[in-house]
Amino acid sequence: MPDAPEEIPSAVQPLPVLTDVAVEPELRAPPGTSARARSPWEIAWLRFKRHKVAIASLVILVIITLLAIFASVISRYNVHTPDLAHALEGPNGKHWFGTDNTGRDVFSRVLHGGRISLLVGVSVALWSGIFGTFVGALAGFYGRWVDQLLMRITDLFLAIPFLVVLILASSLLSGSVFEIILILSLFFWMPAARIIRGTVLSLKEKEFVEAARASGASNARIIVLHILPNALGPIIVITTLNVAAAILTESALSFLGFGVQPPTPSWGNLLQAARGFTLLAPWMVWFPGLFILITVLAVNFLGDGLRDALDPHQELRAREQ
Amino acid sequence: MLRYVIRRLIFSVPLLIIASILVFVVVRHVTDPTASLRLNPRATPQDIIRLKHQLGLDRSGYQQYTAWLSHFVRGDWGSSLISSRPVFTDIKQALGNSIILGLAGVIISLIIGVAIGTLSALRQYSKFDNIATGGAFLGLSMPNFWFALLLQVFFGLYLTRWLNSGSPIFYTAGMTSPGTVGFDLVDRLRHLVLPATVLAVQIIAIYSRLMRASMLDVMHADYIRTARAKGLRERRVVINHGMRNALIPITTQLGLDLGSIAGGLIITESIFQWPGMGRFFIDAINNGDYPQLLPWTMVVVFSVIVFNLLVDIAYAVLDPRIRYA
Amino acid sequence: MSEPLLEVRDLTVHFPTQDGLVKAVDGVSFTVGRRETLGVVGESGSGKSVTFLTVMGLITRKHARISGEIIFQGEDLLKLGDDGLRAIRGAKIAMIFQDPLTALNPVHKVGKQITEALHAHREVSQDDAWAVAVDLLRRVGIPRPEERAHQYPHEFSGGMRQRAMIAMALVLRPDILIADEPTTALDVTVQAQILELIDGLKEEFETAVVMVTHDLGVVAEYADEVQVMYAGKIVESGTLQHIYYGSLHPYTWGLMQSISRLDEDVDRLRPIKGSPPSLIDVPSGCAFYPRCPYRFEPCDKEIPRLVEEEMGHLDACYLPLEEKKRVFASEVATKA
Repeated sequence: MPDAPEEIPSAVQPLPVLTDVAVEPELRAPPGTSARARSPWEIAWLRFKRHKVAIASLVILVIITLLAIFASVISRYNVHTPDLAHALEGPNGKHWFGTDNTGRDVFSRVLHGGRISLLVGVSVALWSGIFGTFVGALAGFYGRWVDQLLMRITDLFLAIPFLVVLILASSLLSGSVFEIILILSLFFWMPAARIIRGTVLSLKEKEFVEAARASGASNARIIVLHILPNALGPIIVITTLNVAAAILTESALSFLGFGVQPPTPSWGNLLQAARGFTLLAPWMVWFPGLFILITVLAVNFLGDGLRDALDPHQELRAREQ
Repeated sequence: MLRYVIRRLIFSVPLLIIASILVFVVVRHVTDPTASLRLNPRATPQDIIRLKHQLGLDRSGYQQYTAWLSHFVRGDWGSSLISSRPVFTDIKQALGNSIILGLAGVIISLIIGVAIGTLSALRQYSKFDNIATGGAFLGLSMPNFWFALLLQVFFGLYLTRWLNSGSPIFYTAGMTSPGTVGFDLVDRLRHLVLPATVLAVQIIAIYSRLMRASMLDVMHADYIRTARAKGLRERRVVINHGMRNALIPITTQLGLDLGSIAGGLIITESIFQWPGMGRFFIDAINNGDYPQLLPWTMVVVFSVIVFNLLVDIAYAVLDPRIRYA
Repeated sequence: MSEPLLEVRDLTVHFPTQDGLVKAVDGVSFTVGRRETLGVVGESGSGKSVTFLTVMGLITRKHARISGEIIFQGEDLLKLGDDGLRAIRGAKIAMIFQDPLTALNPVHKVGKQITEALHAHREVSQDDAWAVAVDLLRRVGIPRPEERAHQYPHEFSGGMRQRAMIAMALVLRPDILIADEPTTALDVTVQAQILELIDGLKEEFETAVVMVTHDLGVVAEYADEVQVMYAGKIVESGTLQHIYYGSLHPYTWGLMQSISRLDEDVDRLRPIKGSPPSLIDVPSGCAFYPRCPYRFEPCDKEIPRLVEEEMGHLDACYLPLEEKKRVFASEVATKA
């Protein structure tokens, strides 16, 4: 719809009033608008606050993170030392989550496993977010063959059955956490690239970019200072959602035996260890899985809340081709 | 339109070739056919060299590739190191089993997912929508291997105990019961239900969200308003105008998901011992059975490329704007 | 004048939103006569589109609080059920929209979108319907209509798409055609063609036309009656003569002064200062008060009523008639 006529400062004097009652024709803000303009971050925060589920999820995530960080402080048990005398005990006063087949305290194993799982999840999301943003920004900004090439590569990576490649890759590597983060990051950058490309494409046409260009800014400057801050919303959302996906993928990989290797605990390999004991000690299955579920669910809800707050027009759906 | 299809087909051929080369290089790199011999303390270096020659590993990369390729296209895929059975037959069977599981898991759940997504979008923010959304989030956040384990425990142990029946209602392992002769449909179905459910839950979760988002997008488009302005029945507006457009991104996603059945059911098959491509892969890797790995990877990659092509074509059929791109 | 085709009485449309009640349309009354062209002019937010979307039944009590009456052929459309409204939409009252690219379904052939309208209201065979569609495409000036009917909207140019929309709207020979910003999304050169097309078809199809626009220029050549809307109310209405050669409302003057004309030597454009008011916190008194250069004592106390200042010329402003005529003559007629 066409905009209302803009207010242009002009030297034209308002026409003289007609009666004795002289009212100074100064301009006031039309009634009904708020007293001061709100920054987009304020608006986003207000919108976010309305999402009770997202707030609750944030709280839960903070709790889980704190539990993981202070795992050694919270639980007294050693994560690695077996204690066969107390093997396969159900949840009780001393072992809140029971013990596993070698007598280790499941609660502390879950908390320590959380450290690794969360670490991997967040790292993968961050790295792939950065890389994906980079690729998407280049593709969107420079267009033409750069765009075509980068998007074809993105499509290629999207088509690859990533679990297969991850398994193949990890069988080559030693299974250290660092390597796991590295290979996982290979498969999470694509959605970010697609979305950032779309955002950059739409921002490229806007006037403030023209203005920056007219004032002589270099391309790099324009991308970094003008376009990316406006694309920050979608970047934040997709990175958050990637954390969830990364945690799930790492768990799956470790569950199959190709991810984080024991004795380093991660929620995934805790479940792998539990496989032989599903009937004898179901609590070994319950708790790590539950933690994965709750964490991933909370991250997803958080991401959803962020999306509503930062990008209410649902631009995040990856557009085809 | 035809030109578009032909163009995509032609583009796929070099893609297949390049893919086959890449796969060949990577898999050969990952596996070491002489590994077991090396571990043998009595093996001499000459033995290893002899083995290498026997296997053709001392020839140039190019020669190895072409030799292998000529065998591959003729269906000679070598034999398993463990069982000595021809790989071709094993993979063929595994692929078939995966397809059965994949289709069983996908078909009905797809329809359910699309229906839920559509209704969610049409009744946005209603109780139905909120419940469906919550359910979808749960399905998306649930680690599928954990869910599979839980199903196994529940159906394998607890339910049978409660009901005091001799055998589980739904089996938790394998594709058929041992000792079954011939094709017993009921038995097969009882084995199929649980692994298919694990798949179905994920499919419903993903596609309901996808369809909801797509429908919301579409129903706010101008042409929906035009359709109503013409005086069409609301049902016609929703189906012929709304869903017709909303299903386009769904279809492309579906094509990609179907294409990944060949390599993608690793976890479910692993847990439920389903003799499909996924389990084949895990076993091959764990056993170091390299003659199985290379053809397997080829089949998976080809399947992905072929389905990508099909997806592109489907997209062009559904969306006329693409045909002249 | 014979009985009006459409009579809207005191229509209000209020949308409850999270930020408050948006009073999009606030007490609007007007008529549309047989074979008449009514120009409805206003900025975005004036309520002009909402008014007619409500007339069409595209905005219903499900979306907003509606009161008033919309009398069409003896019936109050607001009291009609879904089925009744659907029978009228497209068949008796048709509407075309601003951007024909997004207003047409991209995956259906153009011909099919026209026949679809036919099939929804009449029993016709597929072949007959197709023939009608092709004929209509020809009548709206699309060359090689038999081929074009099999094409998709993206294969048409902007102007052709709008022509196709018009064909789709006229296929059932409606009594009223509402055109909501029909030329805004088009090139300037094409705009004139489309307006002329609508005017010509109006004769041929014996249709009344409502032209909703923000652009006074669009209305100037073809309208019989004009009404100016601001902040959900009609502030002035009358014949084309009345509005163009003797308008009486400061807002209308502002609109006239803010268009540039090629045939006049204007020093600078004079846009109306300020921006349209919020429709949630509606001010007491005249909605135009904050932006009106002529405001005085009574203006912000009570909303001015729409009063018939001359025969058939209504206006809502407290300024005395003489004053208004004076201002028009000295400030608007010469400087616009």
